[in-house]
Amino acid sequence: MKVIIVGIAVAIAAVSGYVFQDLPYRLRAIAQPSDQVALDHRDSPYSNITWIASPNDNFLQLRFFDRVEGGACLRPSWDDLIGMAASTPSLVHLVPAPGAEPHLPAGREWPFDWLPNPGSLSNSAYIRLFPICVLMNQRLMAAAGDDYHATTPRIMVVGLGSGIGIATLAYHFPKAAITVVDIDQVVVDMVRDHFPMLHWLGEQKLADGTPRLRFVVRDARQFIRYDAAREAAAGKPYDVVILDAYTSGSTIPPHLMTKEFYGQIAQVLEPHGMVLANVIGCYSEESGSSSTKHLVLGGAIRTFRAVGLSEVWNFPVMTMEDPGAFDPTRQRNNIVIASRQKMDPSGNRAGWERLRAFVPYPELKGGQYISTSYVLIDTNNRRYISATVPASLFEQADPSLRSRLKAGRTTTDGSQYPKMWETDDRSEIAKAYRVLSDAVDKRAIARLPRGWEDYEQATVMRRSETDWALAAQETFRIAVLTAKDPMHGGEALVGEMEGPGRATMPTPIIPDAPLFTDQRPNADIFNN
Amino acid sequence: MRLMALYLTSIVCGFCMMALEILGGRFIQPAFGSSIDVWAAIISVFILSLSIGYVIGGRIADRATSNAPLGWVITIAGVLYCLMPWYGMPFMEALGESIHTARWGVLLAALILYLAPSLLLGTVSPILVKLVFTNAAHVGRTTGTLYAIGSLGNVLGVLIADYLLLVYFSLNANIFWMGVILCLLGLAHMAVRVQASSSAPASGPESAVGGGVA
Repeated sequence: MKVIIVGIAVAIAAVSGYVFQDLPYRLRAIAQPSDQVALDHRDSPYSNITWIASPNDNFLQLRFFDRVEGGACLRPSWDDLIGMAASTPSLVHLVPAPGAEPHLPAGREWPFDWLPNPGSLSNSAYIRLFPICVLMNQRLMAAAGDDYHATTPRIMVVGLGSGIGIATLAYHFPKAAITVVDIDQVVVDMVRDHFPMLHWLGEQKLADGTPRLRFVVRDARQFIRYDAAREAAAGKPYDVVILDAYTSGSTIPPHLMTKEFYGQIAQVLEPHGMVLANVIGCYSEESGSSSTKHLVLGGAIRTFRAVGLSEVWNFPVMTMEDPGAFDPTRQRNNIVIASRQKMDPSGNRAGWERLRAFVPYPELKGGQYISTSYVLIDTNNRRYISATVPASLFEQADPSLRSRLKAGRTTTDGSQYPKMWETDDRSEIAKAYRVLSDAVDKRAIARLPRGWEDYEQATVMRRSETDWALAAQETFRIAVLTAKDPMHGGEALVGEMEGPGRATMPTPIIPDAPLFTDQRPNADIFNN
Repeated sequence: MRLMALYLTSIVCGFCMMALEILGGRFIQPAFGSSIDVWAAIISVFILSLSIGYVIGGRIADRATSNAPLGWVITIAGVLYCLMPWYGMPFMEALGESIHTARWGVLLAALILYLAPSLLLGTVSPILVKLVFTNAAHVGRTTGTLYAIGSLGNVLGVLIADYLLLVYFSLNANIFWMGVILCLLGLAHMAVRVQASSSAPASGPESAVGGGVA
């Protein structure tokens, strides 16, 4: 008798464990009649990885657990670009010859009947700054007659993510030879299977026979130390190394942020080459907080300077709709560039001129690739409270909501982009929250989007229409404008170099920035 | 007093063992990366050396009449810890240079670096069982308490290594000073004699598993 009762209890536990698995990670649970559709889900030794498409909101994301990795805009899709290329010669490098369109790998079926087919636009702001790495390179630009399309950079990208960063580079630099190093085979497989442009690029060759895109599944440290070092010794150093490797916990793997590792990178870099690192961090800690994220950014900069890549400049990544656009305590993506060559606005004047003149995606017209979303803001503390939610979720439930909103204030720099509408009516905000919680109850969405449970702290609910082509151009323009200030230079940020230095700032902005070494590789520990 | 000293030995050895495991990951990463293979190698090597250590420790315990052998194993482990900063990183670099592509390379590296010290610390638990044993009626309670304290040492080793040692000291400094502490502990065992109880059974309870492991 006892055995039977225990047996039933065990069976109930096992079955409920199976049935009530954490919802977002299961395809059938996400594939609800909501905006977001999970296209594929795979487990890897490092993460749970899900491709999420949001057709109404125009984006495709790779999620690691529930952390979103740089997303791709669904439109313009690769098919759109293929169509445009017929009349736009500058896009021909992005599309296959007529009749040579790629096909799905044999034996694979798409889980849904429509196929996301992203182009090169990203809805992730830091990705839009990647072209800096070529525009600032005097040797490459001089050799190409100052035409960035004609440059022939050898680029290594550490950390693949959704792959949209690669697509961005391929869009702007037709003759680039790109090597992507990622530790996770499953990420590479996911990208190859769901990002047809990258799959195709992987099969393309440059005029000299080099692959346009090469996937390497390897720990980056090992790849750089052994394989890339061999290539560099054989006369093929890299012009650019992009560091964008993060763990699923959003920290940089500590062994990829040490003096020894940066030294190994320096050895594979061409003398004019540069490292471009995506470092999540801030300039100063919030008063009263014990956060040490500013030490991650400061540590990266100081560590670059310690290995001879002493010319460091930082581009804090911000978007104009951000209520706290440049708040030094705000944790944000930073694009840190480090090189042996001068990188400051007066030392590399031509490079900065090119950055100022650069218009990303010149072929894409504004007004076509748009996402509309709602977000909660605490204007008193200049903070976003919530994640954005596709406008369709609210406006289908409440068609007149839009008409009750007031035209929002203009952006920080006075431009009219993006278009914004706002309400500070708390009952409207509460109503919006109820729409979401109803959708959760009806299981139309898997869970309440992040931050909406704190709707009572919000002072404003904002609807914004983001035009991704314009957003890419704006982000780049603002980043260049902002970073021109000498405060974003390596010396101003972390102080003078060890040894005889050229002090320009008496007090560094990030004092006591640590030097990360293999003996003290604490990029992950400081990340809190 | 005698019991306290034996518990202290257990906690210190447990601490040093697991702290080495946490620090050990960072030791290997520069040469072998941070793939899942690295942690698989480290954890399997530590558990493997524990199990070998238990077998050997049990044999030693059967013959031991005092804490003298305990002093020896702890001191030798301490010496290995002290030497690791000297040979660890260069050895790892050299090994990485030759076999960095092989998946078993990292396993080999972990074996060579960590097998000996963690095996030696693994012998400590069975010997301590023999020493704390006084009364056959309480054998369960005695060994249970001993293992609990050893495991507490493991927990402290993991947490303190992560939260404090890594933040404030370099890898080499951490391992070296743990080695110094182990050497002192071992020498203390050699200097101060603790006799095993005369009513001790012929063999310690080797079937008890998990002692010394987090």
